[in-house]
Amino acid sequence: MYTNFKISILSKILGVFYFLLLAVDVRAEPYLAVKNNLKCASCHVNPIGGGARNQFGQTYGQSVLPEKIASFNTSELTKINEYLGIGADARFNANYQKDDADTTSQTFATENLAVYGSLLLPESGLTFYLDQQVAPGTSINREAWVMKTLDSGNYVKVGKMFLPYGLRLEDDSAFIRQVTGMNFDNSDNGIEYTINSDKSTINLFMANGTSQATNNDDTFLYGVRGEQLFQNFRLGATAVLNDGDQQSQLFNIYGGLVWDKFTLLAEVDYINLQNANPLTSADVEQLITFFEVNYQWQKGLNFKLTAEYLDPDQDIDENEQTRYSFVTEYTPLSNFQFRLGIRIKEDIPQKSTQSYDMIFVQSHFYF
Amino acid sequence: MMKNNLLLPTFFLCVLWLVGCSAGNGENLDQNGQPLIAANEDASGDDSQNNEEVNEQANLVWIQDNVFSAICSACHAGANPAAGQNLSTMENSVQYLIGVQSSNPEFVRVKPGEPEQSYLILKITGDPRAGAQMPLGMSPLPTETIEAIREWIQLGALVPDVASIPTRVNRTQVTAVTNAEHEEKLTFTISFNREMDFATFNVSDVLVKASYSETSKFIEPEQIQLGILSKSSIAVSLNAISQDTQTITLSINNPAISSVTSSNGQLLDGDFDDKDGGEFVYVYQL
Repeated sequence: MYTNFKISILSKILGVFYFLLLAVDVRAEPYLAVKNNLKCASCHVNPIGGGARNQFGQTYGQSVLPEKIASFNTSELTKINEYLGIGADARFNANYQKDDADTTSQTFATENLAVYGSLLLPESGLTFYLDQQVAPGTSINREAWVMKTLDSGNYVKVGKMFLPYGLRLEDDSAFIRQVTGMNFDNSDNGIEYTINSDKSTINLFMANGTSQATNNDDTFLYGVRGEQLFQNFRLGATAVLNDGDQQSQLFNIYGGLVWDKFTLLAEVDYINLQNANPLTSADVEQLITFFEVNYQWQKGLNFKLTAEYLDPDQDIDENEQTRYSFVTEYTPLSNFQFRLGIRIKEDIPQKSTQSYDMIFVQSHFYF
Repeated sequence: MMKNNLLLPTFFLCVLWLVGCSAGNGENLDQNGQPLIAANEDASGDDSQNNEEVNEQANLVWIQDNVFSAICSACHAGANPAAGQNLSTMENSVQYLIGVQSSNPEFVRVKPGEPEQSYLILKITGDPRAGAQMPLGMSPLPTETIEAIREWIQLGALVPDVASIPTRVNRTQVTAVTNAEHEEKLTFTISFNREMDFATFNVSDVLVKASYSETSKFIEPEQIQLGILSKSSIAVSLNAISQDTQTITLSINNPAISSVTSSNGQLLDGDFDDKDGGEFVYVYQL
């Protein structure tokens, strides 16, 4: 069975590689954690991943990821002093898109410019963290929290934060990020308590569930995420209940697997939206799947193939959507990456503007 | 290892099988992906009710006055409006909303006839596809207001003939600061529902009366500062308001003194009688 599985996957990948000679904007970084069998906290100040990199993450981004290693030390550049550090991500895009209504658009765009600050107070186990998006548009605070790390390795975090949920892809437009609302455009105010052991993590969290500065519905969001690392794979699951006038429940199972030079990611999400059907007030059940294959051809060059599926209402037939992306990620030198990608999104024929082909080039500067 | 861990390959295979599915063919669905039959039933079943319950708020004039100008303009106005989207006047709202690409490439901000495909609706209803719910950091808009906006879009996001809409003050805000001598500095920010002609507007066109327990007096123009904040808003500041002042009455467009007009020459409807002209009076209790 294992051999058949391998052949099946390989033939699919080779087939797609054959037809797609170019690549698109999928920016999933969790594959790096899976590939190295590490937790997100190994590379990021925020233990659940994303944003500022810690010293190890900076060293990885400087020395392991790129084809050519710069002579300077990034972690020294970004360290203001022993306790205070900064960081940034800057993504600039050039996009070309054509939809099924034959509408075309081509544009240069600043996709995201985020700066980070972190302060580790000595001997106290306290970390203050700030994540501020400064472009495009007006400056938006995405995260501002304080974390107390206990002697056991467990920690408690309070403030404005992204909630732990499934695979933390950088691509907010992926179905598992966009439809669930668990993305980098949607932080919330709340508290997170995480139980850590060598190979497992359990996040317990509670938040306003409104993406607002204040809790305006007098109810809360509750969630738990668990993840277990094995020798060359990991499995995780999340459950979220957002109480309120229209209650929503989100569940997912996700995993990652390293297989030779391939790194595979997968996630399945089930969402129940109470009384969300506009006609019958019945519950709406949604199903989302995500599958990603990364292949590192050589140092500094990674190919990424992503397939996604969304059923926005399981009670309605023939309304499903799909999304396929192929991305080439080239990191020629430390702290700088190019992405070239193709994306094909398909919706029902009636929504012709929602079905499109896109080609994009992205430059990503990070430190 | 894999033989001992069938769960993982099974999981990946299941996901692969699911992502291998194709997009729906849309058979028997409407343009929003909802079943045609149900939609027709709903439409026919509700026709009489809809005819009986015409939402009088589902028009841009009401929405501009009560939502865009009253709430959204707190951020979406001025020299650097949030998201580059100025909603301070009806002209601006039309310019920045209807048919304009949103930050999500799959949506325009307002798509006439299709509220569910309009980013504005996603934003004010807190749809995850649109990020943080608007108004940011505030309570969501009342359901009736959201429904009025939804209906306005559904009806085609019609734009009224500007000439038929009176020029009005749509928002007045007062900021008070007390100095070390316990004197108060008041600033009245007055916003209009369209771009105005402030070229000849000056301090002498503003009447300010301070009332005390038994007397009242007009404040001299020298004690009034006038600032033009934007093409549709001004700030009137008063220094050193004494402690015994009970009310401040501010008025503009007094026909005996001067007239205030919009950029297209329409006289301010200051008294809200739907006719051009009339004094705008604002009374502030200290």
